[in-house]
Amino acid sequence: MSLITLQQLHKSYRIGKQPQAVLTGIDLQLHQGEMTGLIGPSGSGKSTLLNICGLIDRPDSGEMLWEGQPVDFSAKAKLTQLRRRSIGFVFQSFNLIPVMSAADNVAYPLWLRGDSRSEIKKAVQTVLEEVEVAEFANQLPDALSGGQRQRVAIARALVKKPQLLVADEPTASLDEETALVVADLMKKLGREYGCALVIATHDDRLKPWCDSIYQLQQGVLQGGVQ
Amino acid sequence: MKWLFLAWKNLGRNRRRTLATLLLIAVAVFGLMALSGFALYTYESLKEASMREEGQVILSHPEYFQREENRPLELGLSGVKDLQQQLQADSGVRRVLARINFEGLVSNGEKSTIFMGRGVEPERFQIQGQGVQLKQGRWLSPQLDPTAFPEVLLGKRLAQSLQVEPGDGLTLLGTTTEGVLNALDVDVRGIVSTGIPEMDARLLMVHLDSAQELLVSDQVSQLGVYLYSSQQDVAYYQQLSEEYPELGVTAWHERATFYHSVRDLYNRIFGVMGVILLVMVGFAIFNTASMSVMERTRELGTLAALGTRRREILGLFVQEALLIALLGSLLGLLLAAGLSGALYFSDVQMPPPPGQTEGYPLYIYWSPLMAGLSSLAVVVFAALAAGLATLKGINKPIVEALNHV
Repeated sequence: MSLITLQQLHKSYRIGKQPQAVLTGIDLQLHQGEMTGLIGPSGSGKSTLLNICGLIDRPDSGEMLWEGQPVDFSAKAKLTQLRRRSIGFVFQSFNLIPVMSAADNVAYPLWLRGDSRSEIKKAVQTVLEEVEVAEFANQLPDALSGGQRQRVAIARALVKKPQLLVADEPTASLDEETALVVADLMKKLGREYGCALVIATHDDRLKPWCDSIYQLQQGVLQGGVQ
Repeated sequence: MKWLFLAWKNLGRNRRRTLATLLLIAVAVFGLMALSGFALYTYESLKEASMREEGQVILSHPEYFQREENRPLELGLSGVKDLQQQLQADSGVRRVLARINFEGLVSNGEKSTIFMGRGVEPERFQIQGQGVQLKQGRWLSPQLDPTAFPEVLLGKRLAQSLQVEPGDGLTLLGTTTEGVLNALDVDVRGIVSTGIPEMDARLLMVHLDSAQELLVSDQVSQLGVYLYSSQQDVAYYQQLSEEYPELGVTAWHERATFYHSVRDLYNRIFGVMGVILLVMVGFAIFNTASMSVMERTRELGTLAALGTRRREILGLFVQEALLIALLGSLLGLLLAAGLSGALYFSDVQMPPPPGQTEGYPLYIYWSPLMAGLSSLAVVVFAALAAGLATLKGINKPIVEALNHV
């Protein structure tokens, strides 16, 4: 069974007085342990689709199933709880909390979940080692390079062992070499942690890492399993 | 605890803004403490002066304070020596002092003028405080010298009017309790000031016995009971009211009209100023929180995306404001304590109030109650202002917040 099933999803934005369709009749399934890539030009709706999958935006119509159960987008508290427990985010510009050290940034989702201090310490240490930035644990984000920050962001997304990892242009701010390392890391850890990984990118170099690639063109999804 | 930790870290983001807000709160709390401390000192001084003038509890004829006497001591008390001894037997009573209020004419041989007389017991001068200040000469002798003329103390302006100094002689003219004119030759012992020009133009104080000699009576106008502890006045007043139902028992505050007027006036003036200071604090915190929310909009989106509840984000900003408010309050309280201490050890004089001739020392009480109330008010205002400023930010859709530039 797929983790997420999107059925006939529609979304439009109002630009001036005219509504402009961004997603039209999207059908998509995301499976745990798989990396799904969404590619397309800027403004094609990749981020919108990603945001809906990550439960931070809502569709105008259509249905989204989470482990076979319909998601109620009006139940904000339940959505927050689901994000807190089961969804990790990696953003293009890292979005680390600047006043917290790398370790505290990674610990944050576990704080929210109410894990004990010892559990948090152990989990943070493990994941920082996996993304190979353990030596920078006590550094503030400003003291880290772009690649190191994105590794910390990946660690923050994965530390709670989410069912879904949503990554919006995770390599756009990185140089080529670092981008490939980060993509490799996400793929490897996503599989290791058994989460469904959906990534929006217009970086063709990431295609080889994806189990499925979908092209978004004028709100319509094309493509599928490679 | 983790939110408090994060709130503490966030205070360091824009240190200059945090410091400015903190200092403004400190100044506001300092202002509240200084205003309330000055008011409390004034209230306490006036209360003390009122108590020392006539006593914490006053015994008199039941109608004495209700209507004017047609002749001297018409509403006087008789046989007060026994009553004084009974009252003095109470271990909480420091002194029971009799007093006669009367009027008459005083003459230097060439000029006569009206006086407002007080027949007092000399012990009064040991406990009267700063209400009456000796300007020239000496206080009344503890014992009357039967071989000498009776002594008087004159108000400063009365002495100027009669052109006399200590040692000069005067003649008092008064009406006895039977309505007959009587005269008494006296010596000026000293010149005093109450600080109130109108009072100083009429005040004349003599020994109680001398007043009784002039009025040809053994009665007194009132008995003032002075307690060791001013905290006991209410209980003692109730006790005397029950024990002496045939007498008029009056509490000091019923006679302290000036005290009540000043208190009402200061409460309003300083109350309005206090509210203005609190509103300033509210605006400062609102501004700081608004700026912070605006600058951290994307971060709010990130926190919400990670599963942080709105109330947790709201709580974070409120805690930041509370930390600034608490630190600012603490600094303000320390500054106020410093000022209070500095004034205590220095002699800063306030100019005479309108209608008075004597200045008074400037003190500011540092009241733990006012410290708690000021801090609490500032903290509550800060929390409300921060909450209000943050609501707009946390109600923004997450995607919009994440895309905020």
